[in-house]
Amino acid sequence: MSRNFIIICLLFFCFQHGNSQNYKFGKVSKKEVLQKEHPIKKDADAAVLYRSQNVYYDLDKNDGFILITEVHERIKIYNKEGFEWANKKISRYNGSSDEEKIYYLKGITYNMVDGKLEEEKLRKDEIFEEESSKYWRITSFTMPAVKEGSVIEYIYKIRSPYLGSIGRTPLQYTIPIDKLEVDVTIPEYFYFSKYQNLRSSLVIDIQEERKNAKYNFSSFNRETNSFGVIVSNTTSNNVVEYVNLKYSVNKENIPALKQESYVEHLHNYAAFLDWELQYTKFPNSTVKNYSESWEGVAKSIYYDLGIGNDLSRDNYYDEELDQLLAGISDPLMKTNKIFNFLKQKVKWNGNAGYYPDNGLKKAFKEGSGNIGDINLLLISMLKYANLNANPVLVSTPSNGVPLYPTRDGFNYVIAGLQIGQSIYLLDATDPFAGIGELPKRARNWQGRLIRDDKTSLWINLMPTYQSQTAVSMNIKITDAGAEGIERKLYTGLFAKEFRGDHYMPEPDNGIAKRWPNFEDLEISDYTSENDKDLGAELIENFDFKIPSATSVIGDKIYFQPLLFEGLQENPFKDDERIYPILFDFPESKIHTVNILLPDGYEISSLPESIHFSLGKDVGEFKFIVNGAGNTIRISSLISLKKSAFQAEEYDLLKKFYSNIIKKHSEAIVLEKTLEDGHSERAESGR
Amino acid sequence: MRNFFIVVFLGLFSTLQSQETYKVNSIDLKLLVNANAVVRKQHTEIEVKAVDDVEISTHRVVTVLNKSGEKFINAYENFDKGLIIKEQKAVILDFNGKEIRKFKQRDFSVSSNFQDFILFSDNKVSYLDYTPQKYPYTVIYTSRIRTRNSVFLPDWWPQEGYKVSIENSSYRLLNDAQIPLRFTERNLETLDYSSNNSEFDLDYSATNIAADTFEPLGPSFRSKSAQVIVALDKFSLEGIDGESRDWKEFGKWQYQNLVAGQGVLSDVIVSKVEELTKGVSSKEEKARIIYKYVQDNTRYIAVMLGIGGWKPYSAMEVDRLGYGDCKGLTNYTKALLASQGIESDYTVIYGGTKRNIDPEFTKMQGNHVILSIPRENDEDIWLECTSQDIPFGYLGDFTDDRYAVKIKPEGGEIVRTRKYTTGENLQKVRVDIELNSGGGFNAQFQRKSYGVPYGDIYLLENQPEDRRKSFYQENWAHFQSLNFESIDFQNDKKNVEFIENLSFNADNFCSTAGERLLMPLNFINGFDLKVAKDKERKTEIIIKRGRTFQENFNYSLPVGYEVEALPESKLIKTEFGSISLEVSVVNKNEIQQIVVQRNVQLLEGVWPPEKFKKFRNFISQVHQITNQRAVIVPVNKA
Repeated sequence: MSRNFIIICLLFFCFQHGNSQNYKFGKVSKKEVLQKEHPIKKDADAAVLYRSQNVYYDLDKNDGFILITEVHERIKIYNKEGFEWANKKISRYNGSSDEEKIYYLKGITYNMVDGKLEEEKLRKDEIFEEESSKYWRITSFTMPAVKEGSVIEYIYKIRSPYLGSIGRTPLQYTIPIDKLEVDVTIPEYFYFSKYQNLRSSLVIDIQEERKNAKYNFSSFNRETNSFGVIVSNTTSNNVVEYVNLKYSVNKENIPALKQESYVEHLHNYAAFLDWELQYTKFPNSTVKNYSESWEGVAKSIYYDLGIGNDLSRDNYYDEELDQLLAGISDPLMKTNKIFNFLKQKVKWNGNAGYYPDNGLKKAFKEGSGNIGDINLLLISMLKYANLNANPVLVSTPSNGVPLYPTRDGFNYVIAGLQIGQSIYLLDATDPFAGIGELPKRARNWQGRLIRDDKTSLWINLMPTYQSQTAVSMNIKITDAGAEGIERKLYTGLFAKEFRGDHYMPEPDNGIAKRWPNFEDLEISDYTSENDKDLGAELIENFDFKIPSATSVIGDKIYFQPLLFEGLQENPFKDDERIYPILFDFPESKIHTVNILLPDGYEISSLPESIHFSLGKDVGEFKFIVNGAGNTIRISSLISLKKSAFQAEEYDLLKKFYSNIIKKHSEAIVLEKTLEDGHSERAESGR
Repeated sequence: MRNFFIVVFLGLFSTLQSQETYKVNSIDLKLLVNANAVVRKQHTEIEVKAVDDVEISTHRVVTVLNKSGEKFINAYENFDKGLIIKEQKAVILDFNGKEIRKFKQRDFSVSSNFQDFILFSDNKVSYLDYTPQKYPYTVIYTSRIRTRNSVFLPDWWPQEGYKVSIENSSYRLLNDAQIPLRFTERNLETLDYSSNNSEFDLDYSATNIAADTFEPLGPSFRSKSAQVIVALDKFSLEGIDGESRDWKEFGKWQYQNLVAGQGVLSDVIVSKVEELTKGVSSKEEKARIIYKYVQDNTRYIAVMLGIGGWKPYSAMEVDRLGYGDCKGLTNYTKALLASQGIESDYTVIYGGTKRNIDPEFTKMQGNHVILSIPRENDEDIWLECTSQDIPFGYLGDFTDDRYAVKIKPEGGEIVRTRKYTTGENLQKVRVDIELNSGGGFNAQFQRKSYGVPYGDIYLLENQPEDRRKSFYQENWAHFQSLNFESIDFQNDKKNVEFIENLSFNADNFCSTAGERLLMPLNFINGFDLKVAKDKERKTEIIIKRGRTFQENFNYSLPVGYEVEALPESKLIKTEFGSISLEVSVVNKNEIQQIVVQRNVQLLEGVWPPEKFKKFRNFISQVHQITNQRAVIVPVNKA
C-alpha cells in the first residue's frame, strides 16, 4: 500500500470528522443552530442544510410492488423572511380506486436556549389534511418554536400504488441547498427514462449502480376437498431474486435559483430530474409499453381520446353542422363557420387538460367543458366536414416544456388544421382568437401534432409574423396646447388583445381611461371599426385636445412630438439578467405624426433622426424627423421580429428601449418669428 | 311542519313561475342602467328554533347581464361542523326564462375555504360552478342551512353592492323560540320598503332598487347603504350559550368564555420574563422589553378549527409552538405583561380599510385582535402582536383611528384607536442633484418618513439588496437606467422614523430640446393622488388621513450651463390643503443651482358633493405646479 493512499484515507477521515456533520434525522449539531448567516450566500433568508430523497420499490406479498418515497429535509432559518420555509405542504394523488398515503411523518425544531440545544417536536394534532380537489390531498403543517436561527427538520414517507409515478425529483430551490442526496432504486422490471431540465445551467452527475435484490416470503396454502373440509395446511418459503438499478445524485452547495423581475414561472428554470416510465417487463409476461416514442404516445392518445377515424360517435351535432355548412365548399369558410359555431355553443370552464373532462357529447349538450372537451370537439367537427384536422398537444407556460416523448408532459390541446401546405392552429376556448391566433396560455414554444396515421411532428406555437399597431396623428400646436385627430390601427395579436381587454360594455372602449398620466387629455368623436370582427384589422378614430402638452416659456413653445402616445417607461430596469427575455409575440409599432405650427412661430430646434438596428432579422428603431416651413413630419418605427431573446442580449435590448424613450421624450422647440418674418437661428431637421 | 311546507311551496313556486316571470325583457329599464346583474328576488327566511338551532332558507333569483355580474349570483354556502347544508339546488334560465340546466345538491362543487395566510381551517364551501354560454341568463338558487351558532344571524342588506339592481328583496325572521331580539334600521329611508314586525318576528321587503355606482374617495358602501342589523339577546357560539344586550354584557360573556383562563404560563417563562425586565422600573419600558421578546420568539400562523375561530390558543400553547394567530399572540403578550403586573386589554377590531366596531349596536364583530395597555392620564399604548417588525406602540393604517371593543373582565368597552394627524403623516425629502450635460444626474437622496407613511416603507429594510433596487426602479420609473451606488436605511423604531439615504444616478432626466435641456422641477413625487372627472358626484368627498410633504430639491447645473427660464414661485391655499413652491437660483463656485422647495399638504376631512369640482381643481393644480420645467442652456448660446 502506497503512502499516498494512506494520506488520502487519513485526509478523508479528518475531513469527515472535521466537518462532523451528521445528517441522520435528529442529529442536528449546535454548530448548525449557531450559524448566523449562510457561508456562501450571505443574504439567504434560509438554506437547506441537507435534503435526501430516497425512492424505491417495496415488495409486498399481498400488494406486489409499492412505490415508496422518503424525504428528509433539514432547513436553517436565518431571519424572519425565512419563516415561510417552516410551512410545508405535501400533495398526494387520490385516485378513484387507490390513493397515495403518508405513513410516516416526523418533525423537530432545534433552538439554542441559554447555550443549550433544545428540541421541540411536531405533534400529530398540528398536522392537517385538506382535500384540495377531487384528486388531490394536501398534508400541511408548520414547525413549532421557529425563531431566527432555528434549524428545522422533518422526514416523511409516502406509499404509492401508482408505480410509474416517480415524477419529478427537485434538485434546486430558491434558497441554497448545502447537501443533496437523491437515490432512486428501480427494479429491473420497470424501465424509466430520466430527463434533466435543459433550461437549468446546473450540471448534475448521476451515478448508476446495479444491485442484486432478494425477497423472501412464505406463503400459506390450504387445500380443501370438494366438501370444503380442510385436508392439508402447507407453508412454503419462496424467494424472488431480481436486479435493482440505483441512480444517485450527490451534490453539495447547490446555488439558490435566483428570482428576477419579469420572469414568469421561475420553477421552469430550476434543476430537476423527470422520470418517465417507458415500459414494464415482468418475468413470464410480455413487454408492456407506456411510451417510448412519439408514435407510441400518438397511438395511446388516439386510443384514449377516441378521436380516430373509426370513431363510434352518435350523431349529436350532425344535423346542426349540416345546416351550417350547406352549400359551402371553401375549406377556410367551412372552418370559420364551425369555429364560430362551436365558440358560441360551448364555453371554456377554466380547466386545463388535453383529456376531455365532461366528454365531448356532454360538453356539447351542456355548453361547457375543459380544454380537451372543446378543442377535441372542434377537431371532431372539422373532421366531420372532411377537413384534415388533428390534435396538437401543448404544454402551458406554467407546466413547462415537455422534454421527451410523453403523455404526462402536456396539459393542453389545440387543433392543427392542414389546408394545402399550410397548417392553421385553432383554439376554440378563447372567444377572441381568430383562426391562426392562439391565446398566450397556448403559446409555449412548440406543440406536438398527432396525425391519424400515428405519425407526429413538432409544430411551432410561437407566432412568427409581426403584429402591428400604427398610429397616425395630425396635430395642431396652438399657444394653448395641442389638438388634433388620431387614427390607430391594430393587426394580428394586438387586435386580439384589444378585443380581450375591451369585451365588456364600456363607453368608447374605455378610451377616456387609457392615459391616466395625462390628466387634461380630452377625447371626443370616438369611433371604432371591426372591434368585434375576430381576425380583422381593428381601427380607432378620435379627436383629442391636450393643453398640458406644450409649455410656453418666454417666446418659445416646447412639446414632445408624440404627445401622449410616446413610450414613457423602459420595461427593462434591472442591471443584469440571468434568464431569457420573452416577449408575447413579434411586434411593430409605428407612429406617423404631422404637426402644424401656430401662426407667428417657426422651428427653433428639432430632434435628430436616428436609426438603431438590433440586427437584420432581429429588430430596429427608426426615428425620422422632417421640418419645413410651418409643418413637421415625424415617423417612428419600433420593430421586433422575434419574441425570444437570450440573457446575453439584455444589455442591447435595454439600450434599444432607452434610445426609444430618449427620442420619444426629446422636445421640439418653436420660436416666435421676428417682425420681418425671419428668425436668425432657424434650423431645419436633419 | 311549517318549515316543510314553506320549502315545498318555494320549490313549486320556482318551477311554475320560471317560464314567465324571469324573462330578461320583463326587467324595468330603469333597473338596467349601470347594472351588471339584476336581483329579481332575494328572500331570506330565518327560523330560530332554539338558542342553538337556527335554520336559514334562501331563495334567490339573479339575472346576470354580463361577466362582471357573476359575482352577484352568490349561489354558495360555507359550512363546517357547526353548520350543515340541508338543501342546495339551482336552475339556470335563458333569456326567455326557459330552463336550460338544473343543478341538484350533488352537482355543487365543494372545496376548502380559507385564504392563503391561513395554514388550515375546517371551513369549506359548497358552490355552484356553472359556465354560461351567453349573457344574459338567470340563476334560481334555493338553499337551506342549519347552524348552531345563533350569534351570527344574517342581517338584511337589500342593496347588495355596486352595479346591481334589485327587483325584490325580502327578509323574515321567525322566532319560534321567542328569544327577545334587538334590531336597528339604517338608511332605509332611501328605499321603497315595507315592514311588518312583531315582538319576536321581523318582516321586511323592498322593491325596485336601482343600481348604484362606486365613487372614489366616497363613504363606504357599508356606511351609506340600507341595512337592518339583528341580534338575539340569548345566543350560542359553538355550544357556548350567552346572553347580552349591550357591549358591556357581550364583552363580559366573551371574556369569560373565550379569554379567561387562556393566560396561564409556565414558571419557566415567567422567570425568564422576570429576568429580562429586572431592574427596569417604568411600566412602559417593561412592556417594551416584553413586546420585543414576543416579536423575537413568535410568528403569525393561523389555524382555525371550530371555536378556534374565536377563542385564542392558550398562552402556554403559544409559548411552546412559537406561533399563533392574532388572538393567540395577543393573548400571549397579555399574559406575559400580566406576569409582570402590567394590565392590558384584549381588543377586538376590524383590520384593514377603516371600519368601526359598531358602537351603537352590539353583535359579534371584528376580524382582528390587538392589545392595549391603559395608562393613567395618557393615551393607551396599542400593540399589534402579529408582526415581528412593527415598532412598539405603532398601528399604522391597518388599525388606526377607528372604534374597537376591549374585552375586559368587567365587560366590553368601546374605545377609539390612535389617530395619525395630517402633520404626523409627514415625509421629508432632501436631494442634492448634480446634472450632467446629457440630461442625466448624480443624486444624494434622503427621505424621512413618519406616521402612516412610515408603515408603508419600513419593511423595505428586511429586503435584500436586489429587491430594494427593484422597489425603487418600479416606483421611480421616470428615471432611465437608474443605478445605485449605495442604499442605506436607518430605522428608529422608538421614534417611528425611517430614513432612506440613497446615492444614485440615472440618464435622460432632463429631456433635450436642441442644445437646451428641459429640467423637471419635480425630482420625485410623493403626492400621487389623482382624481378623475365626475360631473354628477353624488356622495361626500372623504379624505381619511391627511398627508404632509416637505420636499427640497437642489439642482446643480452642468458646468457651462445657466438658467434660461424658470417657473415662478407659487402658493395655493384651499380648504382641502395647500401647495407652496419656491424656486430660486443661487450661484455657487461658478455653478448655478436651482433650489426648489415644495410643501404640499392634503387635509383630512369630509366635504359635500357640490365641492367635488373645487376639490379636483386643487388636486390638478398641485400636479400642474409640480410638473413644471425649467429651461437650461449652455452659457455661450444664451
